[in-house]
Amino acid sequence: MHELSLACSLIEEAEKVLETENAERAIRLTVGIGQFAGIETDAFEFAFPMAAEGTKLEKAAMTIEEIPATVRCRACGKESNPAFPRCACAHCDSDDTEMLHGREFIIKSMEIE
Amino acid sequence: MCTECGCGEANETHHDHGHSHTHDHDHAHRVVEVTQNVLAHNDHIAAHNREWLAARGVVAINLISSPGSGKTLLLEKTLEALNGKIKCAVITGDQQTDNDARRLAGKGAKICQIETKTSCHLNAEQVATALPETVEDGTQLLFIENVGNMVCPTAFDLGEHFKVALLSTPEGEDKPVKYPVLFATAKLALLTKMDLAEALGWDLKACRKYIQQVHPGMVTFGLSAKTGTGMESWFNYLESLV
Repeated sequence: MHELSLACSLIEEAEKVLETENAERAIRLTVGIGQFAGIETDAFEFAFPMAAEGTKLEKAAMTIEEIPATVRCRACGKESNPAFPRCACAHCDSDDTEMLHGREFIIKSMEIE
Repeated sequence: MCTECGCGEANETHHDHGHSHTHDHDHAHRVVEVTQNVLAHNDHIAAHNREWLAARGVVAINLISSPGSGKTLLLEKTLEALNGKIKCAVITGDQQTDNDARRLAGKGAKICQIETKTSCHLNAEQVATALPETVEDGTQLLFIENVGNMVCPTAFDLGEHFKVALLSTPEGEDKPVKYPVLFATAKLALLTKMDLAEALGWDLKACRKYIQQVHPGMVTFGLSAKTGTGMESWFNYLESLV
């Protein structure tokens, strides 16, 4: 259960954005979480309000967008989106793949004022 | 040049320090597209760890499993077998105690115990701090024994070359599909405590099937650190890495 510490990291990064943008507070933030990020979204949503308490994100709503895996196959050279939880090439089934997307944990956008 | 720390090249993927674009400037409410990596700080340090290890020719392996799957006994036997052949070092993480460091001491490898206190995983910064004191000149293999947990350690890159997942027979056959992220992203699966398989009625074929569902072609070794069964293949594999 590391979602609370991840939520705290999220708040820290979001506060940096607010400072850069010279904004008072965040109204909404959209977070992208890769299927292979190792983050449980339910636990993360539960932890977020606790991490946000007393910060400029205290009243912010959060939207989570899941980011599916995209892999590039070193055997056949093609890119594909294997069905989770597989990360083998969807074309030739080789497991010698490089994950291009799916491990992200990012703030995609913020609505601020 | 990386503006955060002055290192390396600007085009490497780990240097994705966020940047923002503001839209709708005329209103008090604005939406900013940020694409800020929340774990950028950890990933940045992990990239430095990877470079630091590569510069010294050290292969680093991140061992991840649930608590009690036999990581420490595996390492005890591994260090004993490789002593005098391959120079090893170990960074071992637990929430509390230096029990593991004491178990691993005196087997020819430099050992560093990290107590993570409340945290359920090692992070790149802890490893970065431990590296200079743990990895002596001539070290070829670094084992990073993560905190016993099949979920959280997968989110934190430590700068290792690859992850190894351990699964012990008392845990059942279907852990790979229950905790797929670990088994999908680890290079190798070690099936441990094989000496108990018969008594437990543990089904190797079923377990391999679950692993293949998540990670087709994944290399697996069945072994028992206690009896020594299957350990030779593991040692040979490690020797092939250096």
